[in-house]
Amino acid sequence: MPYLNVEEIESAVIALAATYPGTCELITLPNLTVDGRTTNAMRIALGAEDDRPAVFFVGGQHPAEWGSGDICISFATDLLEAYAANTGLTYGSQTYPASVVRRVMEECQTFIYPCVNPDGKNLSQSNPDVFQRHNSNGVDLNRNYDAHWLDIPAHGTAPFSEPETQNVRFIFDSYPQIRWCIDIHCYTQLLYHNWGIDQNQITTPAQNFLNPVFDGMRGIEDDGYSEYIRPEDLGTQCGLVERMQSSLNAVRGITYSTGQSFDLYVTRGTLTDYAYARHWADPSKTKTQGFLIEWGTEFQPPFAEMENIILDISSALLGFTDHALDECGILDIELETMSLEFASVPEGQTTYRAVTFRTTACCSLDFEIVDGPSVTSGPAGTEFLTTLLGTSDTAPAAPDSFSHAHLWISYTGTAAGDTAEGTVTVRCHQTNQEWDVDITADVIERPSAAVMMVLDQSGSMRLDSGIGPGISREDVLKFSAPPVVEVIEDGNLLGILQFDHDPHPIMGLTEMDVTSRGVANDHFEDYAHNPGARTSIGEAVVAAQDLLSDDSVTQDVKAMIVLTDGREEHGSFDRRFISEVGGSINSNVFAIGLGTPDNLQPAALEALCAGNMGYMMMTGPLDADASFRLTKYYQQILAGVTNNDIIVDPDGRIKPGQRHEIPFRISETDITGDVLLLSPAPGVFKFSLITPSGEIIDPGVAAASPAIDLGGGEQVRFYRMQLPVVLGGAGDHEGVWRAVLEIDRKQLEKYFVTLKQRADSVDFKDVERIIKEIVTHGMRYSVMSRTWSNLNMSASKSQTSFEPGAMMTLRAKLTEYSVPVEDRANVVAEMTAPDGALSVLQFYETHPGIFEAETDLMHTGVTSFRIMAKGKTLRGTPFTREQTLTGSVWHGGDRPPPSGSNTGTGTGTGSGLDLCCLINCFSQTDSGQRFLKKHEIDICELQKCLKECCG
Amino acid sequence: MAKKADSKSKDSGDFFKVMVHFKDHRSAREFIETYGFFLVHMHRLEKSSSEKSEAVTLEYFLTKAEINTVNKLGLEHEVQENMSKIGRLRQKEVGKGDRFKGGKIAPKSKNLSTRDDKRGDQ
Ligand SMILES: [Zn+2]
Repeated sequence: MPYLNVEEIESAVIALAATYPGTCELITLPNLTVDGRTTNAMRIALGAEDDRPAVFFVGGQHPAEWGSGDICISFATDLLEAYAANTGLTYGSQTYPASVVRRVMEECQTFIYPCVNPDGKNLSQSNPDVFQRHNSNGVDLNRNYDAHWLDIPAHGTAPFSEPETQNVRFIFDSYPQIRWCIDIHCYTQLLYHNWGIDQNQITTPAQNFLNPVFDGMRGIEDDGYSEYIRPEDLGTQCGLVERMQSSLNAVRGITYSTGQSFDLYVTRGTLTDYAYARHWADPSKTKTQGFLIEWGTEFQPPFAEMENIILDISSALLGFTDHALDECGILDIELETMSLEFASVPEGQTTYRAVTFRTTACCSLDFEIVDGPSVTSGPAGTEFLTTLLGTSDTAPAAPDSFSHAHLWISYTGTAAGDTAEGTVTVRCHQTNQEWDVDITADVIERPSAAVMMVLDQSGSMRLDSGIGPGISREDVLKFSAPPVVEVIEDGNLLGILQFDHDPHPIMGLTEMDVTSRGVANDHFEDYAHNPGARTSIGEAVVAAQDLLSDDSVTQDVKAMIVLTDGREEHGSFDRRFISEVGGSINSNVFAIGLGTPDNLQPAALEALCAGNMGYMMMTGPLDADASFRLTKYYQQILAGVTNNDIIVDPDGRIKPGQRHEIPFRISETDITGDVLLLSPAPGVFKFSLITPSGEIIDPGVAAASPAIDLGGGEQVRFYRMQLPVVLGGAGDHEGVWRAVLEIDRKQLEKYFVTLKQRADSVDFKDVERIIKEIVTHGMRYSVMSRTWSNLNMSASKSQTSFEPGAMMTLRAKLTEYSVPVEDRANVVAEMTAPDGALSVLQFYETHPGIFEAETDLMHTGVTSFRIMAKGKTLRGTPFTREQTLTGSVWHGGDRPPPSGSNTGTGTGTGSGLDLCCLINCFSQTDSGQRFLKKHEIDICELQKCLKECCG
Repeated sequence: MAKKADSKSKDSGDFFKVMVHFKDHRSAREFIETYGFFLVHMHRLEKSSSEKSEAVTLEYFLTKAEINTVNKLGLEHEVQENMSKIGRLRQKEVGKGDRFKGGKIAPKSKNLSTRDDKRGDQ
């Protein structure tokens, strides 16, 4: 099946009109060609000509481009025969249902003029030595139209000087229904639209081909003159070209370039531009959108390949027509980021910001950084850089809603106090608009902290913790303290001091890095209680304060975290009580009481914390369900000390085969995001994150991304992210993130083996029970998400007394960029009473951003309050914050705390007394000895017991 | 406008694909409009390169005489395949006579969805 010759093209048109009289009308053009040939076009549509919108396909202006006529005849035949048979059309892998054919035939009129220049084509088909683009007058017909026509010989003596172009004009003039015109050429695999005169622009109507002011300026790229096109027309044209492209690509996967005709080369007097220019020159004429197809990769491909090209282009024409009838005509671009602000970037931290465009358009729009980003002012070393995501982005078509394009810029904080400015220029490829976007940056020092961990090593730390078989208080400390060391950010100072009746500095304040973390963890490993030793918290806090007061410690925050399991008790040692040293403490003091208020009588420590910008938390009696409590208290205090806010902090258990997704919300106010997995064996978990856009962050991704760290040790594993996290597209910042947990069965088996190896120190049955419990109920975990943020919650408490019946007032203060979060948050506390009863406490906003709640503490023991805030940022993004506080009351809570004046005599009677001291003293008095005798108590045995229990 | 060169060599009338390089758009446009040579395509340098280049390349089909003109203008260019040679091959694939007998026989579609063996049945 060879190429059609010029005679066959005319015969085919005549035959189609004769065969399909109800759907194909023969249009014989009024002018003979220069060589005297008659040419024919056809109108294809159901029924007589009427005002239905029309498309106009033109072929064969240029002689060498043989296949265009074959495309036209084949496509006309397809439409007519498919409609007659009520079938669809199949082009390669692309099938159009019969409904599409019916729509085109019934709602539209298709004009096809297959061979405008048969003289030239005949010459080309019969003479291999002729390559030219002319008619028999030596005129390039596609330069002879009245659209910025240029007076040079090959363009004719005047616009429409040629009979062939007059024929094309005749069709436009005779059929004002024509709204879309495609001029079919070859080659280079292109799909183009108006204009060919110059680059398009949509902002300056005065720059148009009719305005003589700009004569002589047209046709040069980037010269200050661009051709005006209405935005809605550009939207229509880009959208239709995209539809042609996708329809064509669906046939056999070939991708044609798209763009405006000027992208090919500057053209004047073309049919494509004439189609669109008619309306501009004479508004009474129909506006026709002009298009250009350049099919194939050579003028005359072997016909076997030409047959494939016919399928490609036929699909493009049908997809085009179907979509054209939808009449999409929208193009709107808004620069959302008039400037880029790298606000408060910490030293050395790299942050990303995007120049963001919001588009509503029938077509996709391409944006590209064409200049910069460059620094206009700033200290040496200032750099604004493009990122691995590239220098361009495309906003997909979205005529009914909107879509975005993001061009990412990065900036790394130089030195604290620095400011910098810069600029970047972004261009839209379709509209040739350019935007200069100013960039500003300022650098801050990230507040750093010096933290002393003050650890009780008195004899009672050997006692059973209650968490599980063989787990002593000492063991609990050993797995709760190391995560503090793992999670504290590099550059903060951490020190360790242990105490009994004397303070024992273990590790001075040391800047945290990989090495010093190892050293600190070794110290925890070496921790051992001192049998029989007493408890002097007063001396311990003074020693910790001395270390924090050293001139070399210049951190913004200085804090100590005291962990104790007992009350102040000095035995025969002459030591100071908390009440005596309070005045010399000026660091922030936090305390964790491991045990019950009865036991610890923490009034003095509570007061010391409250007076030094801290708070005390009591664990209450521990049990298996509270195994993370100490760890979490430590983490919460650490978060507060190092300027982090906790987003959420849920616990759970997971079994092999299950998948847990723990959601947490990040807002645009958040600068970093840390997600901590706390577990006795974090290695047993497969731990990953899913970003709001669906990107997955796993250890591999974290390793490849400079802005994501994966850290941790034996009790904690965490992802630490600089926000936004940019893995693709828009990047991820605000929205719902999810931590994903699954059990790695192999690692779980390994963990079981490790547990069994420990069975020499623990009863083997207990190990079996632990394993069985894990198999039955799953591994325990806690996932804490936290953020260094501009949206902060600080919670505090005050209670009227430490006796049962005391009134507790809880207060949560919410600020965003230091401004109160007013009328856009709700705060509640989940309250757990000493007996385990749960209830919810509603907070009320008493002042802007201040939320308060009150409750009575009726029962002896620890009541915990998990305070949870939910709200919206100034920009309307949801956020959550969380913090736990505890309140303790006990009988005798309001008795004066021990002080120097009552040393050695205890604190009186009741639950607050020092029994050892009392019994020892009493047993040595005359009346005491009489009493013991009377009750048949052996004084020697009592002395033995006293030695055993009281050291 | 194409004219056969006077030279007697065998391929004197043949067209060659020639890439002609210009330093900027203005000189390219002047060349396009001064010489009505057979222009096929304009190639631009990739815009994404950070150093923006003005240089353009025009893809022409030129006879030897026209190539001489390009030479004389001192324009950088490369001569590629002989397109006339390919053209002579394709002549054999042009239809002879009139398959549609002056309009008495209509072409048949090969692309109807419902038809089996839609291709190559003619
Ligand atoms: Zn052409």
